[in-house]
Amino acid sequence: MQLVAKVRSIDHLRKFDYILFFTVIAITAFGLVSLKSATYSMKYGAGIYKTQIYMAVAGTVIALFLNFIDYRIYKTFALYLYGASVLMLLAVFFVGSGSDEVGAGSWLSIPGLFKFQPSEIAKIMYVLLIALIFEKLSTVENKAKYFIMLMIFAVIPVGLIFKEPDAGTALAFVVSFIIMLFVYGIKARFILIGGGIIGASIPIAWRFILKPYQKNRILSIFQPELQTADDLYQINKAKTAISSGQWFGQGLFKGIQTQNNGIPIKESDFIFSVIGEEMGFVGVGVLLVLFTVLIIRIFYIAATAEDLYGTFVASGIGGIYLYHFLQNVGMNIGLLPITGIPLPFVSAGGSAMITNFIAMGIVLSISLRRSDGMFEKPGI
Amino acid sequence: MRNKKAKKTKGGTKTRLKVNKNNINVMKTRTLWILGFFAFTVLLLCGRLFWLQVVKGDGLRQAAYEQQNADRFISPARGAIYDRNGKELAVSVSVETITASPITVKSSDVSLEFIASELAVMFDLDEEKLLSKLNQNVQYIIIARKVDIEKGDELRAWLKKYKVSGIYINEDTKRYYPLKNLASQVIGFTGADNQGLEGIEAVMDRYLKGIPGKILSEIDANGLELPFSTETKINAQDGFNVVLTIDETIQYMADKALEKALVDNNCIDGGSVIIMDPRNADILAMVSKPDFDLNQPFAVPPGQDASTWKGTTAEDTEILRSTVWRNKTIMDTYEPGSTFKSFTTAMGYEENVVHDHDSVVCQPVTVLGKTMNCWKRPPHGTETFREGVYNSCNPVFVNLALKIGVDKFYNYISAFGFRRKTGIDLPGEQLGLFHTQPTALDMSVASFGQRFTVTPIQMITAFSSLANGGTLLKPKIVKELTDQDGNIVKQYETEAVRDVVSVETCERIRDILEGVVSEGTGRNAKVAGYNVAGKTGTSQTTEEGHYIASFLAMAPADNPVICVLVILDNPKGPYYYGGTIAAPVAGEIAEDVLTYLKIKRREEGEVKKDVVVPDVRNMTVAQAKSTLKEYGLKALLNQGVDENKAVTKQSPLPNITVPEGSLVMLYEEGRETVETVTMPNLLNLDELDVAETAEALGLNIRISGTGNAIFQSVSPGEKVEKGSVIEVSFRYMDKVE
Repeated sequence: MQLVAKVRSIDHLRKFDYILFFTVIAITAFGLVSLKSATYSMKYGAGIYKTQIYMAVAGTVIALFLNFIDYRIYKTFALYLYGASVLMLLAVFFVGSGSDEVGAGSWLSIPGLFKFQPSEIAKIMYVLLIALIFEKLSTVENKAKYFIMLMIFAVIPVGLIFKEPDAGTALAFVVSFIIMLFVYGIKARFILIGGGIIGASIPIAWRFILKPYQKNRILSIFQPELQTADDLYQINKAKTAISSGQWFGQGLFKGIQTQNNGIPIKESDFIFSVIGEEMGFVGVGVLLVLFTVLIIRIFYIAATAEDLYGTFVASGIGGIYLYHFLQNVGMNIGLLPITGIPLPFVSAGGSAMITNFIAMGIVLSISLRRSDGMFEKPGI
Repeated sequence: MRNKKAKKTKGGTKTRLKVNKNNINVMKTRTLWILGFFAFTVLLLCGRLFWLQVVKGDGLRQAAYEQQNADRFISPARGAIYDRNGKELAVSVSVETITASPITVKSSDVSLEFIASELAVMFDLDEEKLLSKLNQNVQYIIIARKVDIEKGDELRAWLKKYKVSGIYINEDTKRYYPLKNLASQVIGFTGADNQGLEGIEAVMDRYLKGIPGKILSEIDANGLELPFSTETKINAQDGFNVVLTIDETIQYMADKALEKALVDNNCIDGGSVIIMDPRNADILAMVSKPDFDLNQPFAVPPGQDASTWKGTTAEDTEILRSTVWRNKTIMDTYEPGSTFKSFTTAMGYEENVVHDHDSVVCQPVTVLGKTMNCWKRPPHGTETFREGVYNSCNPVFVNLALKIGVDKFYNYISAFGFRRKTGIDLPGEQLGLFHTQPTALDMSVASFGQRFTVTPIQMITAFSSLANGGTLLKPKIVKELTDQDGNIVKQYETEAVRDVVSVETCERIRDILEGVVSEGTGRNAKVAGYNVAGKTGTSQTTEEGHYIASFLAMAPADNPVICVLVILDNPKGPYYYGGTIAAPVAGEIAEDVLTYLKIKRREEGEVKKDVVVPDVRNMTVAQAKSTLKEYGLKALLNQGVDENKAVTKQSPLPNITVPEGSLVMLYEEGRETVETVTMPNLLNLDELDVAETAEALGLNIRISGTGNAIFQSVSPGEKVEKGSVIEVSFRYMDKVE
């Protein structure tokens, strides 16, 4: 009853999070311009660009819709949504189709309808459930039950996606989890213990879990000569493109590497190189500023959320964006190993686009329901 | 009741908040940690990007890459340049560029040495250089640029014969200028990549060049192009054609007339001619000399040492730019001299401060302590204003300017467009100099066209406004753009800048300037059958003995369809007055152009027609005499000729064109010794004296101009055959400035 009263009392126009919304729109617009140029000289480029526009529009509508839905409703469904996503991840192993482009068989197609990547949408479901468990952990006296639940639910999707194999996406779950854990408040000694466990598991993972190409990718950061010819080619092309952008870039539709198809996967994983080449340091700087505003805003929302569930969900989503952004840019400029991680709101890709906007809608909803100034100043 | 409920809700929230309060405090600190970490990594990224893009940013490597990938683009056909009647001025012809992939070439059956030696012969290349290029471990080299299609076919046959792979023949285009030197600075030329470098080729480059097409390749999973994948072509969009306002025939007439005048008067700094249609500001001809062959823009210009000439060094290009490439009509600034008096007169008329029959005095006039004299010593004294203009008396114009006043005078100068560039669609237009704070003295000197500079294009544009009823127009060089099918894509309309003077003023100006040509200093521009109006000009430069002779004309004076400006730069012949050397050029051009434009001539009584001499050999002398009479010619005979004998020789020979009434020397059978006379000195004689002298000697003369003889085609003292045609030029030598 109180819930309904609360919804009615919200002044949507005044409390709508314009900063977050327009930052995302700005990034999306920036992304569409870049993508137009990136796909200009591609054989099927026009189609990719068109799909992206549809997805951006659909995503915006979805985000605005979710803005009105009280995020606390997800508490009720979190477990089912999570379950459904795990089933889809499992289904990939049986009926999934691989696309050579991402080097992983991670796609699920519903015949006659569409094709999508379950691992994308699973990120949201994962955050919604894990956040719920963290909320319980911070309010109930008997934590043991929830601690076990946390252990189990946190690991399942990560394992499945790692097995696809898509280590890059799996890491997004891990980072998101670590950030929620950090916000929950883990004592220093646990961090040390956790660090110790991770440290101890590295040799094991190295020995038994990681595939040779994955090992090489990690090693190659420190020893460039270990890179495979393909990786070397990709990263060299990307670096050449970015460095030739200089201050102001070569201009849209004029990037030599870009327009001669010199940059690999330039519409998706390496679109940042396109931006670097054609818009230069200034263009890239604008994008970095937009992402910085986005991420700081999300964590500010997390810190001022109405309840702990909101705090954890926002942190988890913030963690996913943070990871995608840092990993993608880091890979493009040769600081991090190559993993097929798209740049949110910018890279081409329907599933990712929709997922990012869904996540945004949820954060908007959390932001809308924050208490603010007038009577209920939170204690910060 | 409502109040109570609200209170309750508020209270409820408060309790829930309390639960969170501590947590939130803790969490704020924690999120700060995350944001701190995030900020650190973003800084790291920025640093790395700065290092990559700004510090290490490397444009050179890209240029090389671009070159290697040039063939991924399909060149569009460059649009042509036409004159106003569709005559080709610049066209693209298909040629071929030979490229090779050395890595592939190496896998051929024949040796690289053999390939290099054969290709070197075929394309006239350095064999060693080619071999070292083929030995490189690269994907792409250019062997020969822009070779004829026949050469390409020869290579095709050769490649087939020796089964050589990895050598490619690509379509390419080369610019060809059929008219070579004609209007070279206007048309301009293109560089190696067909980019416009000068003239219309440069200004209209964006329309001419078209949009390149592309070859798109499929890429594999790693972004590498699949070597034998199917390729998609995006077709190139060809450039538009540019149609100029230039009329090739008129350009040719002006070109030839100027060229002759430059030689005759030994003008060491060249010269220029502009012909404009004053009604719409269309430029019909624009000649600047010296010029160059557009097909070889980098060839050694006259006066340079051919043995050390490279054409591509910075100094060489600078020389080209300052000589043959220079469009003097828009880049040279000069003192207009007396030609400017037409504008001072127009100001006087418009301000209504002078009338043609006013009595004026041509005596030295002193303004602010400086005395100005007439060009003629002694001065003309008391005369009417009209006579003052005919005589081009400087003091008359100084007094007129003083009546107009400094402010108004300079307002008119601005209104006539002398203080701004005309904005013609050609590159490199210059702007002359004026006094910034002009005094009455500055104005007085300016009234007869000295101590300020203008460009020829400003001069003719302003003069056209006097010809068209007082409206200053923007000069137009591009008429329209057309596509490859000849459809008009864009039409360039005539743009009016402002109305400067009234129609009445223009009528009076045309009338008085017509008088300048019929009776005054411009008499050498007189044309039989057309009334030309114009003004002479002779200006000094800062260089001692460097004069600029000019003539500004409009014709026909009652309804002008052309304005002509002729400028002869630095004449070193015997004469340097504009009225002596530039006026006849303007007159000749006006006559040629008006005839070409089919402007009706006025009936004039004594226009002598030309006659083609008939063949009267083998006729009897009597028959020959009557035949010649029919043709309007006179027979010249040996003394005591037998009229029944046959004619065996005649002078002039048949089919030579001579003026009507000319003499033909006939030699009858048995008396064939050539009759000669000694050529007399005709110089300074007037037309009548020359005609009498020639007739008495049995010589024919072909007259050009009027006044006194200044040139004869046979030197005095030489022996000439009777009946020969001697060319004699006449000029007015007195009362000419």
